[in-house]
This record gives sequence, structure tokens and C-alpha cells, in this order.
Amino acid sequence: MTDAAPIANPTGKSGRSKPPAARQRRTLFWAVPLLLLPLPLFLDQYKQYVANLILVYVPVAVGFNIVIGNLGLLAFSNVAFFGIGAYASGVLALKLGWPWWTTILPAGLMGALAGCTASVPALRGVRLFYLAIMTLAFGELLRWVYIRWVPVTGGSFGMSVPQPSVLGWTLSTEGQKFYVFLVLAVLAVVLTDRILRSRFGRAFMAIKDNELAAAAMGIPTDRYILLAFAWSGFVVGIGGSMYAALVGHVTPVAFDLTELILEFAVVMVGGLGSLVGSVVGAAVITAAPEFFRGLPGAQELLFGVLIVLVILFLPRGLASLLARLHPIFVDRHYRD
Amino acid sequence: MATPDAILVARGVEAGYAKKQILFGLDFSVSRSEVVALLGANGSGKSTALNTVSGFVRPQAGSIRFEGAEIAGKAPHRIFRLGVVQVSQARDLFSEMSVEENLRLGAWVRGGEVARLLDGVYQSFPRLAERRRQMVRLMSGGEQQMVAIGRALMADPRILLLDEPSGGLAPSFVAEIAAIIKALKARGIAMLIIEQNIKLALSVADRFLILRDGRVSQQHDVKAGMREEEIVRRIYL
Repeated sequence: MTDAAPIANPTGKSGRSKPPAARQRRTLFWAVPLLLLPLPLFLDQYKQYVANLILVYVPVAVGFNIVIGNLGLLAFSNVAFFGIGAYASGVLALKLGWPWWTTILPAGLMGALAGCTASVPALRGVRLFYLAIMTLAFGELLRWVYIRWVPVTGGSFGMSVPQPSVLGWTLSTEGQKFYVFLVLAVLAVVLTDRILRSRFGRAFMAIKDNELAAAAMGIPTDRYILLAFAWSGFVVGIGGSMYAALVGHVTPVAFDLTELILEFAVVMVGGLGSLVGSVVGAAVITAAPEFFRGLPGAQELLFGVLIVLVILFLPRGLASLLARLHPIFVDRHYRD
Repeated sequence: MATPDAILVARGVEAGYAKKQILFGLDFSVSRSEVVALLGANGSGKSTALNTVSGFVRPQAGSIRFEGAEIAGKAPHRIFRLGVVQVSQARDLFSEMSVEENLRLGAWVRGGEVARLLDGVYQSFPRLAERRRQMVRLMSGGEQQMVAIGRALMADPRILLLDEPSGGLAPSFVAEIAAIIKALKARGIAMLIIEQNIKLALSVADRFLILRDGRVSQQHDVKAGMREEEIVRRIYL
């Protein structure tokens, strides 16, 4: 194309200016958390705990969705990252006496390290069900470590995590935890959005659509797969640290296959590959059992039916429903 | 066989898949601005030869030099960055993306020049300019082939490797693809083409190689005017 003269046609500029919906979406990231600020005034301690749990699941779902939704790899190592983050925070706080807030970053970094480790089969070309089973095994292997490494992890009984604190300020109520968690959840969403909108996000999308073609376009696919796993591990690891602070007790049973199914449901119900979906899925799946609490016995049944209905009628998750309502919820992470 | 201005030179290349060897000492070269057609029966190793040059198949032995630098065994994205760009048989497009998104990804390694390259491609393929928002999987085979070639051009290639550009296309599109290849040739882009349609191959190539059992059994100048029937006979008999 060396001699192709530029033509007086604005087509080359198309897609480079930010679509209005994308700009509005930025506002969404800040406006929704602002609206949530007065929430602790209206909620009792238990409902506040559920709201906090939703905030824990926001980074967990966002991180999981990067690998499974944006990169399109059938990898289930997310519970491993979640557990690593929770244990890293717990061990640093309990054994070394670090204040909780100083353990958040190390928990994320440990998660990222686990992410790099979990990406090894994918980097060696393992895909689909083979990758799924290998990454599941990784999570189960870590659970074995939590149970057996008693001096550090406390074994099957787990460990109690000291009350969380931020800059010497103890978070003694659920309402106080809420504000710190809100900041962390917003950061996870905003930073991930930045990544998905950048060159990295475009590479993830290309790899998901057609890995061979991505390599043929000069995209170093291995590097981006490693990066996606590392960022996923980092974000989910921070979710683990939040979980440790919220629950106050870390046990191996919290990171078993049931947890994995729950996290999978969050992503599927919210919307594969959708950032908005990760947030909505975390809210709906975490809060739904509370709505059915008045119907003992039918609780699990209704929860199951809800998931089936959403997947059946909205295969792209609740995010696709929102996207139909307003373009602000559309997130196709491919624009300059 | 290699002329002084050869940009791509393969020597004694052996390659295959797992335990099945396909190429047994492949030798060929492509000069600057030259169009070389690779002909051969099914299973003679044409596609493997192309995939070995572009790095998707790792050679077990031999050397492949591009502009003097050894590229044999390098990762596909590294070879691509040097300007060796393949348009594969399956077209390998991003089917869930629009025409323009596909084209932009073609310029992944080119950074800031995207707008200029995009203008160039739209000028060459007005049909793509009209359909730049269309999802690629909703396009016809011929249009997809145009997207594939357009996307390859976005990388500003030094040499194009075309694997059956007319494969599976309607006759009207075959003529259009032939015109496109001729236009690229006029611009001086070197090409290595695999083509079952011998008429098309002869209309665009300067030279053709006949592959048999994983090596070049013959090579001829197109200008020498060998008849099509004779070429078919030499390929298959």
C-alpha cells in the first residue's frame, strides 16, 4: 500500500472518535457508586452484609469474566485465585500482624502469580475441556494445600482473620466495610474497563474470535494470554482479600466446586464478556437467595429456575437486556 | 535458483505434522516484485510450504531466509512483523467483527499509520468501504476474500503468501480476485501463490513451481508459454 494516496474521504477517521455511549459509560462507573453512598443508612447489619458480599463478588466476577468471556478460554482457575487472595490476606494479617489494608495488594499479587501459573497449560496450547479439567485440578490442588499445610493455613478448620482496618481505623461495622469495598470494586471495574478498551482488550477480542488469525496478524497471543490470566488473578485475588475481611474466617470449604459453580453462574447470568454483566450478575446471584428466604424449602428450587430462565431466554445474560434498554450498557470492548 | 535480488529463499526445508513428514527438502526462491505460483496435486505440500514460511508449521530442517535474515522456526507474529503476510485458505477472518475492525487488526503492528492504510484499502476496495460496518460472517465468500486481502494489505506487506485466493468462489469473483492480484503485482508486491485454477495462476504469475511429494520437481517461466494441458499432465502424471 505504499503508493495509495490518501483520499478525501472521512472513512479513515471513523471509529476513532469515541462514540457517545462510551463516554456516557464512564459516567456510569462513577454515578452508580455515588448513588449507592447513602445505602448503609437504610440497611440493617444483615442486609448490609449481603450488599458487601455483592461488592466482594464484583471483582471476582470481573476477573473470571476476563479469561472466560473476553479471552474466550474455558479456564476455571478463578476459585484458586479467590482462595489464594483470601489466604494471603489472612496469613499476613494473622501470622505477621499486618493491618488488613496493607494485605490487599499482596493478595492481588499472589493472585496474579497464581494466574501466571494457571496459564501454563493454556500457553502450551491446551484448550476447551482439557483446559477446563486442568484448571479445575489446579483449584483442587490448592484446596489440598489449604487442608494439609496446617501450620500456615489452619487446615480444615481454617483461620480467623483479625478485624480489618484501614490506616489505623478499624472497620467494626458492615457499613464501614461497605465504603472501603465500594472503592475497591469501582477500581476493579474502572481499571479493567481501561484495559479492555486498550490494545490489550483488542488483542483479547481477536484471540477469542480467532486465535490463529490473531497470531497471523502479528499479535503475540502467548503474551496476551499470560497477561489476561495475571490480571484476572490480580483482580480475583483482591476479591479474596475482601472476602477474608468480610467473613473474618477463611476455610478450605469456601473455595470448593460449589463456589466455582456459583461464580460461573454469576458470569453466565450477568453476561459472558460483559463488564456490566459481571456487576449485575454479582448483584443478582448474591441477592436472589435473600428474596426467596421467606419460602423455606423452595429457596434452592427458585434460585435454580431463575438461572435456567435467564440462560434460556437471555443467552448473553442480563447485560444484553440492559443493552436493549439503553446504549449506555452496551459494552463491546473494541474501539480506539 | 536464487537470483541476487531474491527476497525469500528456502533451502532444503523439511516439515510436517507430528510424525507425518510432508516436505522433503523444499528449495525455492522469490525475487523482489516477482509473483511465483506453487502448483501441485492435493497432498503435494503446497499449503504446508506456505505455512512453514509464515511460521505456523515449524520446519524440522533446512533454512528459510527473508531479506537475508533466517526466519525458519520463528514464531508467526515475528515473521509477520518482518512483512511476510499470509492470506490463508480458510481466510482466518475475525467473523464476529466488522469489516473495519478486521482491517484495523491487520495493522496491529503498524501503530499510528492506520488511517492512511485504511484509506488505501478502501480506495482499492470500494465495496469494503460501503460495508465497513457489516459483520464479516454475514458476507459472501468473495467479499470475505476481499476482506482477507485488504486486511493483509493493512500490514504493508513485503511479500504476500496467498493460499488459493480463488478457492470456492463464484466465477465473477474469480475474475475480480485476478484483477486485484494483478493490481497488487503492478504495485510491486512480491507474491507466492497457491492456486488450483491454473488459468488464473498463469495470468498473474511470472514463474511457476510444480510440487511433488514435498519437493519442487520442476519450475518454469510463464513467458515460455507452456500449454495448460501440459502443465496439468506434469502435475498429475
